[in-house]
This record gives sequence, structure tokens and C-alpha cells, in this order.
Amino acid sequence: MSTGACEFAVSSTREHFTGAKELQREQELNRFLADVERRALRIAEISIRDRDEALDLVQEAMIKLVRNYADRSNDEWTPLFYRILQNGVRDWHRRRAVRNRVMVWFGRSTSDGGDYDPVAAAPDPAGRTPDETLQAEQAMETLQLAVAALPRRQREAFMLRTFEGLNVAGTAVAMGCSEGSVKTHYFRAVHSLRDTLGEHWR
Amino acid sequence: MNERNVKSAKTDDQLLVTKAKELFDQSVEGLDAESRSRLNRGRHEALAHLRPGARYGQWLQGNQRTLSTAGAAAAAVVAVLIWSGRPPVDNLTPPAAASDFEILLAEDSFEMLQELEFYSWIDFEAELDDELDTNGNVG
Repeated sequence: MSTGACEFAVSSTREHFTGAKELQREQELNRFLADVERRALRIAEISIRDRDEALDLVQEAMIKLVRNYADRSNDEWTPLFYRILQNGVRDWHRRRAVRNRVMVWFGRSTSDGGDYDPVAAAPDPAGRTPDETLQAEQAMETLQLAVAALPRRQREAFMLRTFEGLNVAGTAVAMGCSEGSVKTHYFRAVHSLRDTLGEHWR
Repeated sequence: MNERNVKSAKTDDQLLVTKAKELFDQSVEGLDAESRSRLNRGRHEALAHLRPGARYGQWLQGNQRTLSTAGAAAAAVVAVLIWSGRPPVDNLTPPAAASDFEILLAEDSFEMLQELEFYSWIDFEAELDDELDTNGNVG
């Protein structure tokens, strides 16, 4: 009888410990996702030029990370999350390409630019004059267009390294390639952007 | 390309990266309330997948095909067992429910049902007589 009571106590403590551990993990994941979600949204949005779709892709990436990689160490989450997100972006482009083959149309890129209204999308940022705000938004729009025009791998390397601040190793995990490839893609992306944006930004 | 040009190119690259990062951070800070709200909701929905119920749901979802196949197989096995183990049909003995029905509809029982009021009156009278006897003995 005493053995049974003892077993119950042990199993109850174990359950409590497991529950506390799970709660802690949930809190850590929550902090991680809250920290990364806005940058991830902007990165996805620059890649696909559609905020609603970008929001869906970010949410899908969050769910997949929680489902499949919650038990991984916190350091691994950022590259894994971006790997999932980049795969989502890639799939989105594939689906889009198939749809475009079916529904043949031209001039979509100009209409995309026309649909997107960064001024309407952005709220009033504190401490800047309307002129400064407008200039910053125009500069960002120019940057977005230039980044979006990069080849896919260069775009991924540039955004992950510059916008998300991942190191070469983390970017390699996120892109699923070697560190040498990351360096090459990043180098080419920066040079290409310098050529494209040089006139505007000097 | 001489050393000076290399340095200049590197500085240009660094300036571009710094400015791009600044602009990007500003655009992140300037995200509208609706997008922030949707991100917040999405995050909480994602985190709900950590809870035990969600895991069971995931398991069900992941194994839906296996479960439906197993369910169909189990149903088939049960059907075969019932069919092969069914007792022989006895045409001579009527089912119990039918015999009960016959008893209920028998002529006597039906008459008794019609005279229920009469029988209950007799019972009442008998009880009244007993009561009177008891009172009489006491009094």
C-alpha cells in the first residue's frame, strides 16, 4: 500500500515537472515568435509582394515550427523558422507560376506595384516629419523593388543576412546550402543592389 | 583595382547594407495594427498546437487514413463474425414480444381492462369496511 502511494507521488511529481517544462517551452516559443514575426512578415512580403499572402505564409511557418521543432534548442529556431518560411515562399512562387501558365496575362508586375500602397500600409511613425516619412517610404519601396528583382538565392541570402541578421552558418541552414554558397550569393546580391540603387542612394 | 578602390567599394557596400537595414527596421516598426493583430492571433494559434489536446488532434489528423482503413476492416470482421455465429432460425417459437402482445390482446384481459373502474370500487369498499371494523372494535 505504501509502495502504491509512493508510486502515485512519483508519477504526480513527474507529471507536474513535465507540465512545468512544457509551459516553459511554450513561453520560450512565444517570445521567439513574437520577436521574429514582424521581420518575417516583411521579408515574406518583399518576396511575394502581397501582405495577406505573406501573413498566411508566416502563420504556416509558425505552426510548422511549433509542431515539428518545438523540442529543438532555442538557437536552432531562427534558421529553422526561416527555412520553413523560405520553402513556403518558394512553393508560393511555384503555384503562382503554374497559375500564370494557365491564365496567360502580361503587365502583372506593373499592376502589382500599383496595388501596393506603402503609404497607406504604414502608420504614422513618431518623431518624423511627413516629408521624412515619405522619403523613407519611397526609399524602402525602391529597396523592396530592387531586392525583389534579385535572383531568388541572392534575395534570400541578402534578406536573411541583412534584415534578419543571421550569420553565415545560420543563413546556410535557412537556405539549405553550404556556407560558401551563402557568401557567394550575398556578395553578388550586395553588388547588384549597389549597382541598382547607387544612383538613388548617393 | 587598386587598394583605394577596394576600400571605397567595401565602404559603399557597408553603407548600402546599413541603410537597407535601417529602412527595413523602420518599415517593421511601422507595421499597421491590423497586421500586428493578425500576427498575434497566428502566433497563439500556432502555440495551441503544443497542448495535449492539439497533439491528439494532430495524431488523429496524421493517422486519419490509417484509422479509417482500420475502422473499415474492424467493421467487416464484426459483420462476418455476426453472420457466421448467428443462431439458427426457429420457426416454431414466436418471438417473445409477439407472445406478450397476444396476452395483452386476449379477450379476458381486454374485458378486465374495461372493468377496471368496477374492481377499484370493490377494493375501495373493502378498505372502507376494514376501517369501520377497526374503529368499531376500538370504540
